Amino acid sequence: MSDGKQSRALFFVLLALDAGAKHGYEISSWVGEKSGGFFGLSFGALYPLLHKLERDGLVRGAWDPKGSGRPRKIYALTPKGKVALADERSNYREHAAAFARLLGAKA
Amino acid sequence: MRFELHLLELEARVDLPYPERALVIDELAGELEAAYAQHRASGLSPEAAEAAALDQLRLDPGAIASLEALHLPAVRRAVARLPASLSGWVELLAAALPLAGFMAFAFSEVPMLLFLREGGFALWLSLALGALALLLELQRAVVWLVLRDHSGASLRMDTPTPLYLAAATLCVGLQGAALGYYVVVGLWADGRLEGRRLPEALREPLPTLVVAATLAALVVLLHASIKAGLRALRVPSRPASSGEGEERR
Repeated sequence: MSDGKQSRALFFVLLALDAGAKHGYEISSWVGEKSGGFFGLSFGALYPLLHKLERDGLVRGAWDPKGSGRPRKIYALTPKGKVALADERSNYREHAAAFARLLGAKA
Repeated sequence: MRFELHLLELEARVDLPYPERALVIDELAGELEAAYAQHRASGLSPEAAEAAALDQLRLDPGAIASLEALHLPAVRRAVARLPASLSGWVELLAAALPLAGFMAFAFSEVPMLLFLREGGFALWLSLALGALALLLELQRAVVWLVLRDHSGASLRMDTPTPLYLAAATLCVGLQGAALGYYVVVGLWADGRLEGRRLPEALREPLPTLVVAATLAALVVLLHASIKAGLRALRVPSRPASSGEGEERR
């Protein structure tokens, strides 16, 4: 995955978890749903990223015994993850503003 | 069970140490079931829902490589940086050092030189067999519990060879001692051994038995400890394998 895509995937995961703790599959579905299907997060991209974020202390994984089926791992943002999300948010806002200026610029 | 084959195949393909590998498979199993339930709820047939869930949650080679890089233990990463010919020696040296330490401790605490003189060839042989068995067990401990290399090729080293060697060590010790007693009793019966020297003569074959039994017991204890360690790490007793040609990394 390119750095740009990885950074975007990281932002999506942090955003999804800011809205509440989620399982991996729910994170992937949340991104597709909230972006109106514009963005997608493949499980192949999501899964190593979640493990990396867990190792780096940005998210915390715990086994969720609820439900009748197999226990599932649920991820939540840590305080360090919230700080990282605030940084990413401001970064993407600056990007969006810059794109808006570019798109509005006349030749 | 649904997805069982897929998960087994994935477990064999992913070169992660245990228990991380088992946890990844558990996590994926839960996600697959959730995706399947959602597709079923949306009206897909069981077969279509299963196929859709598998397609959606497929881990491509890139994702597997990322997971492997993420979970590779630091010590194994360091050994992997060495040339292949050297890493084997490092593993052997790491196994030989505790054995050398144990032998040094035994020689300092027990009159081993006297034992060796009295025990003769049988003691030397049982010492060599027992030390080889211990070395094999220690090498496995280094590979499986320190480097945490749980690849199929590495887990195929899990053979009872050290236990056979321990049994051979004990047999040689028993036979050596029995032969010693045979000679002593024969000398005594022929009147070539004075009665007052009998206790000393009866003591001489004992070191062979003591050393052989101690080494054999140590091998069995170490074997059982390593097995318990592997079980605690959730390493399957029959290693998942992606193919006969698989090599250790």
